[in-house]
Amino acid sequence: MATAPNSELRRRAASSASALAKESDYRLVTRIVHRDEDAFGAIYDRYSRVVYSVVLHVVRDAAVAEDVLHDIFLNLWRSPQQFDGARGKLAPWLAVVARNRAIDWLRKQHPQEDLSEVQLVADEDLAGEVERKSAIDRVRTVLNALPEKQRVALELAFFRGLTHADIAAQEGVPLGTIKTRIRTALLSIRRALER
Amino acid sequence: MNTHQISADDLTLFAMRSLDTADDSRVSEHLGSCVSCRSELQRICTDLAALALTAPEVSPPPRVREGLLAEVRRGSIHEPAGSPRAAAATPSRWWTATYAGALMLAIAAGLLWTENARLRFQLSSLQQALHQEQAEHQQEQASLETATHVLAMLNSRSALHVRLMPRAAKQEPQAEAIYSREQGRLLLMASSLRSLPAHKAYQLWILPMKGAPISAGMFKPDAKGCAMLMVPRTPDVEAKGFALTIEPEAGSPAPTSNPVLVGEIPS
Repeated sequence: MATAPNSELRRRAASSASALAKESDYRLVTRIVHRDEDAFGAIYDRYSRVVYSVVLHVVRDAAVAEDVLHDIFLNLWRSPQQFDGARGKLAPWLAVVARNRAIDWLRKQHPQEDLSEVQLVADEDLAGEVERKSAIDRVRTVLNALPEKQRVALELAFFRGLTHADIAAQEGVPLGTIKTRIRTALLSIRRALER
Repeated sequence: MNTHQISADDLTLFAMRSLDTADDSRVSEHLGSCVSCRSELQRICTDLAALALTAPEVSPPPRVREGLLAEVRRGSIHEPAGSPRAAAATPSRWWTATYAGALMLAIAAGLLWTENARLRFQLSSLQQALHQEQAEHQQEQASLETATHVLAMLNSRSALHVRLMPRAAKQEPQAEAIYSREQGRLLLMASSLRSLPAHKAYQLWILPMKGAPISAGMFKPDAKGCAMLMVPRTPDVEAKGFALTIEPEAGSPAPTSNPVLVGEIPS
């Protein structure tokens, strides 16, 4: 008999979690501004996988990736207003923040970046989960088709955090060549997003 | 490459934080006064976000969530279980039963009054939060609408891009007008404009093929001399160019000063 109230509580909790899962990012972030822990949990459930994947891909160490993931979300809890919903969607914003935080760790720098500096255009392709998966597939296809030298330059600069001078020295080519390779590769990604 | 002293290559490296300190500072300083470079930087960041999202997906272990939420809860403010108010409500044992009864009634009335006041305060706070949220939502909607229009203009293949330059040799202030007669919209992005006295403002004019200039809107630049004006509905006229003049803050029916900037649509 004592299980009935527990079952009711579980049912209510599940119902509440289900309602939160349907809330928009904007609504959830607004609730976080008002110190709503459940909304924060919902945002974590929605995007921790994205953030962790990016960080892990950069730092390649699960324990470090967990620490960086923890710091990023704690920062979001402390300063949710740094995410400007009018200037982009939460998933791509968190992806760039995750990459930058991970690079900070690689370079052994104390993070100094103001999160509000990361501003994106409001790209609908990266907003919803379905649209995002489709856009990511297109970008992966483009990455695989890039000339090897462009792909390597982009990979080293973005996911390994090397400066263009480091890459130029490593590849034995002039600085300008590396700049052009990175820019050209990135424009290919842009074209893939615009398709 | 763009027409600035900052190349698109450098903007890309800046977004990746791959420039050395000197170049990073140079780009950062330039961004403070260049609307078009800031716009391109946002596009680059979006491209980089797409690149970041190609990382193979891995789920974090549940312990990160547990630790994070525990930390969040520890930082929250909770009402202490045994408040001084509750302790003060305990009657002293040396009071007589009569006085104790009266006191209990008084305490009960006091507690009810306190609870009533607390609920009123809570209701007032909730109403205030609701109003604030509604205001934020409306502001957010307006910003999103503007951003959508700006994006549509920037991506439009039929929109005309006209750079407005000073007539004098000095080339510091500059602006770019993006005009789509098809969409009925006009977007002006200006930089390095000089600040104006409180009673003055910049007025944007559409120069029609025939007839007098038509006012398209008023604006004031920010502290860095930058400004962006979106004209959501332009008159359906064939424009030959655009001009910017300094006018009284309320605007003028016709230009009253020489144009600060003027640009013509290439024929």
